[in-house]
Amino acid sequence: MNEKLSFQHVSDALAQKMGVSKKVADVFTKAFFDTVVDAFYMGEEVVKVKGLGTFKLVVVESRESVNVSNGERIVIPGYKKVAFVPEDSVVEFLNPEAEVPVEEDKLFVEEPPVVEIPMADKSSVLEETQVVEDEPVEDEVEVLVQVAEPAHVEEPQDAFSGIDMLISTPESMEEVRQQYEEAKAKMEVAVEEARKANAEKVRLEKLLARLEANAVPEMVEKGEEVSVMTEVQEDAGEEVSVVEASVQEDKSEEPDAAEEDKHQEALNRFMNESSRAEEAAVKPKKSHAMAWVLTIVFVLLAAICFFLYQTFLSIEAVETVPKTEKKEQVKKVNKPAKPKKSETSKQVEQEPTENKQEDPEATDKKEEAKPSNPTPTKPATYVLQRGESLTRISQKFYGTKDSVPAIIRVNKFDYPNNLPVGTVVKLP
Amino acid sequence: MTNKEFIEMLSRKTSFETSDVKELSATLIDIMLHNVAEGDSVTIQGFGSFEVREKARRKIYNPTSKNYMVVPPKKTLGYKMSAALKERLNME
Repeated sequence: MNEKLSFQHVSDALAQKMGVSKKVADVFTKAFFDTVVDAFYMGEEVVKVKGLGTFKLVVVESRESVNVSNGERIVIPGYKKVAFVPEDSVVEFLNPEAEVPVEEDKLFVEEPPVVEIPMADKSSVLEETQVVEDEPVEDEVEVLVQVAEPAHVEEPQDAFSGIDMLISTPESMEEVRQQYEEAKAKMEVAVEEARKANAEKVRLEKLLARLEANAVPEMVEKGEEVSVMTEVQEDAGEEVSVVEASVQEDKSEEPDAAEEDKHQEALNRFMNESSRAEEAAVKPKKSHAMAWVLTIVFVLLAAICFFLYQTFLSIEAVETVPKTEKKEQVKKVNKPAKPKKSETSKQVEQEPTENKQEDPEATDKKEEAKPSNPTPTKPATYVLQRGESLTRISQKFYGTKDSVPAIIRVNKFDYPNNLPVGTVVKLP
Repeated sequence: MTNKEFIEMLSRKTSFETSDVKELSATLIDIMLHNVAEGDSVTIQGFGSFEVREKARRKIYNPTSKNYMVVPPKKTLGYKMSAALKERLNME
């Protein structure tokens, strides 16, 4: 590993493997690589070797740079080099396991507006989102219920204990107490069931909403409904507590039988309230009973929606592609048009002859660059003619286009690509 | 220059049969690749060196499906020509 193997190592291995003498292997290995080089000498530009790759002769053009130590301009001469591109089979050989060409990016999830879910992972993602998004809603419900329960469970209890202390009618009180106890148990059961039913409802509706419209706002509405339901219960509990509180106040003033009646009344009221609350809870209870039937229906619907969604996606993908491309094209057409106008207007203001000059420049360069031989006579300055560029001037007086940056530096042009006719160019 | 021309040129040079040259060059390449795959670098004097280069994973954007994809890291065969060859090629 990580050794530097030499020519000798390779040719020895070749001799061993092919059962030829080391001399023959040496000669062959040498000839093999010499042939590639010789092919380049013979004027070939590309040498293809099966099983290895392509060797290509590349011409690197000369360029100008700056000596880092003293800031002098230096020209790095152009040269030829051999470039190599391995064959596909070689790359496959070097990557035996990692053959996955393209993979979905995990960072893709970071973009919230994109609703497109990868086909293969769709179901699992849906499940995940269900679990994740259900939890907070359920928590909300629980919190609301917790708020609601103490209102009608603890306070009334205190009130009753107060009544016990004040009034010595244990028989009737016990009855009342039992009734209360029963009512309380019913309430709790009802609340529990209502909660379950609501959670189930919310979950199912969310599933539907998600699949059909991919719309988030609906979920929020459902969540609000749930909170409304529990608020109703809360209200009931509060009313009860208010009633109890008033009863308590009355009792402290006149602890008599009349008071007991009042208490009975309050209890009746309380019973009514609790039954009302129960009624509120029974509605979801019924839906809870229906929920299992509905789940199956919804699951079936979801499956159908999923497949429809998939097929529509593929159709839409085909349809939307040309549209978006068109839009992009239109945008592209619009965008470059504006700056061009502004540019041209600027040019018209500053240098009116500029526009006409640019186009011939480009075409003339190719045509006239070849015939114009480098003339050694170099004046100190040069007046720019129509259709000439700095590249042409550089070619004319220096025989290379590498001196353009130097000319620009000496003349300190602000816009070296936009020079008006008649500009006096200093030649370094 | 195609592989066929290359093999012909090599057989003329070594005065081997083309079929032998094919076999020999295939084996030579096989040996080199196996050595390179193990992490060694193979240096041929006067020609250059071969070694494995690792390409990092990169993110690409598919403008049609508007998806970001990740191309996993991969290994490729790298070649660097020797200084002697550079000198020979740029003698003029």
